[in-house]
Amino acid sequence: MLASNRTEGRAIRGADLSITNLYKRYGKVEAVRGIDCEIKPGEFMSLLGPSGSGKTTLLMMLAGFETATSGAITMAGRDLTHVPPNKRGIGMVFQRYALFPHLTVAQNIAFPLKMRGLAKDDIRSKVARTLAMVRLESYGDRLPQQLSGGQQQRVAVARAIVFEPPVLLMDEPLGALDKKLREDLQIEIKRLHRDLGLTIVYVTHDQEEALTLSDRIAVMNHGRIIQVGDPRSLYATPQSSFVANFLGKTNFLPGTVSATSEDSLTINVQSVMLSVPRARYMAPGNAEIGQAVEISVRPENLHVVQGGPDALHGIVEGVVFVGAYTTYTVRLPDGVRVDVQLAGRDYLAEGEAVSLRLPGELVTIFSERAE
Amino acid sequence: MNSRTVSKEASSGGALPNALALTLLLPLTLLLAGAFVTPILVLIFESLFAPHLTFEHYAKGLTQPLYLGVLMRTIRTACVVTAMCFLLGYPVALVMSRQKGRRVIYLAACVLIPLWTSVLVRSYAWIVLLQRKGIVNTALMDAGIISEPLKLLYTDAAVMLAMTHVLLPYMILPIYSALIAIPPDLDKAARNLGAGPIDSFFRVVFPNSLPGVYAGTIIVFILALGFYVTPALVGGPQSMTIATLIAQQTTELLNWPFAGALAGILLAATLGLVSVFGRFLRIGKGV
Repeated sequence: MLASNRTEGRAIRGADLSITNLYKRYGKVEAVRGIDCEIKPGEFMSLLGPSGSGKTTLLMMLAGFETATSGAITMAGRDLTHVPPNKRGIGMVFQRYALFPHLTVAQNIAFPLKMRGLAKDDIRSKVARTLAMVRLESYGDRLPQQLSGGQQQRVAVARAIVFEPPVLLMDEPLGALDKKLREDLQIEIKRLHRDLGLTIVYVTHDQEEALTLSDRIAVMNHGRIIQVGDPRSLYATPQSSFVANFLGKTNFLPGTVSATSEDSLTINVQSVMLSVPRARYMAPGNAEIGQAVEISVRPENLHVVQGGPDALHGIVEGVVFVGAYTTYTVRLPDGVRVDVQLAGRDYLAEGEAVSLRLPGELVTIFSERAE
Repeated sequence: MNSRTVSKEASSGGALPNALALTLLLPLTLLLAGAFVTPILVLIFESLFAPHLTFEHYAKGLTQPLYLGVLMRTIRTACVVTAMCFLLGYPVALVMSRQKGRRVIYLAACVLIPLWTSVLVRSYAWIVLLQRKGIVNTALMDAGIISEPLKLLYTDAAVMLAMTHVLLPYMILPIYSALIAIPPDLDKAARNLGAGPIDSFFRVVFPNSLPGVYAGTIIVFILALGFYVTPALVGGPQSMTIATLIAQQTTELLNWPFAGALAGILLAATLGLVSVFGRFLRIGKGV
């Protein structure tokens, strides 16, 4: 019924997805353990995590290829938990394209329409329109293996959106492509998302990709969602050392709490007294005087200063020139190494002595460092 | 220009120097030339020049109803056996391709062990099963389903049944290897796009397994056309095939020219039918 309603040409709108207390066990292994997540209509939500974090299993359950051990998935108020994949009406783009090699590009894109029993003329016009949307107008009669990887993935995207699904799942769709192509396709995916207004759930282990594309990111580890938020707040305010380390680069410096007050903490780092707002304290419990902590500071938040009592002193050990910026590895007196990212042109040399300022308001404090 | 340099580089990486390639091929070439091509040529020569050029033996083989009937029966048997191998073998290959770990090995063993057993043994096993007082007749009579033993052995059906059994692995294995080469994502994609399990199988999995089906069909069909042992043991005089006819002409009647003509006809029929299949194969590949 839903499919026939959608064919009457009304604008595609994303649907909301709601995941409640979702579990997946394989024998004794828990791949997904207790996921709760609300995805808003039209939202671009990335599931980001290392391999084995359960992000792909979660996506497979959304698509219906894996059945949930317990918990529920609903889309626009409709319970999907036990609906077979072909009845869900959710689009999906696979990492390895998964185009049908025996069908032409146009036949591939027509497949979901054929399955829905659309009339031939209807199919032809929809296929042509969607091919134009992914800029492959003249490729309809080719076989998939006659296209490049990037073109194949665009066909896969076309095939997944041609039946106007309210939700599109993408399983590391750019993982098999090289960097330049990946960036081009990121822009196209963003454009499609904006133009079609559909809800996208995007699985990736590439944090940069997640930061670039998403409205919100759910960082996953060990089958759980660790933190959800928009890219900027996740990057600026990670609530665990895992997120700090996985999303972007970070340095960990050991320190001790030496004084506490209502709204700030004083941390002894490398014999420097650093004042940090209490809101930056992410470790469990209340900060106690004498407690050992780890200070996380992003490489771009460390600044070179002319010396002074509250500066860290070190020796430049390594220089990596990246173009827009340069990354220096600085060794502190007790052997701890920190990476510093500087954009200026006053390049430092290996072996040079340097003083660094720790910005207390930009660091985060954890109880342990991430591996 | 560019593509030529590329292909040159590629060939220097993968291909052997011509002299070495020829040396490696030589023993087999000599063996085939001596033991296979020469006798065939001699046989065909004898069938044509006995002692002067004549098509008499070919005419006899192709016009006399008796021999034409044998040829037709042979082709019909090969077709039925190939079809039965496909119908019985495809599901087995499909199940095998969907198993994981140890169960694949067990299933593969079930398919392969018959292949490692002598054709002679397997054909005799069918005699034991199908003869007048064999296991099947005894069981049916004990169950009260029949009162008189059925004539099962030395029939066309017995030949087809036994040949299907013998040739089944040659159908299963190529289909299996075609099926496991299909990425599981294709089936998932089809399901995701709205196809039920049956639609997904017939529209995606089966079309992509066709190269294996064609390979198995050709192997089984060619083997069935020239099959000798099983029809000779399990078949009766009424179910004579061209291979048993050739054997009779050479060993019992010593009519070598006619046997040569029959062999030539079989060879031509095989090549003709295989080239028809080959055309299907090309269509299947979409070229």
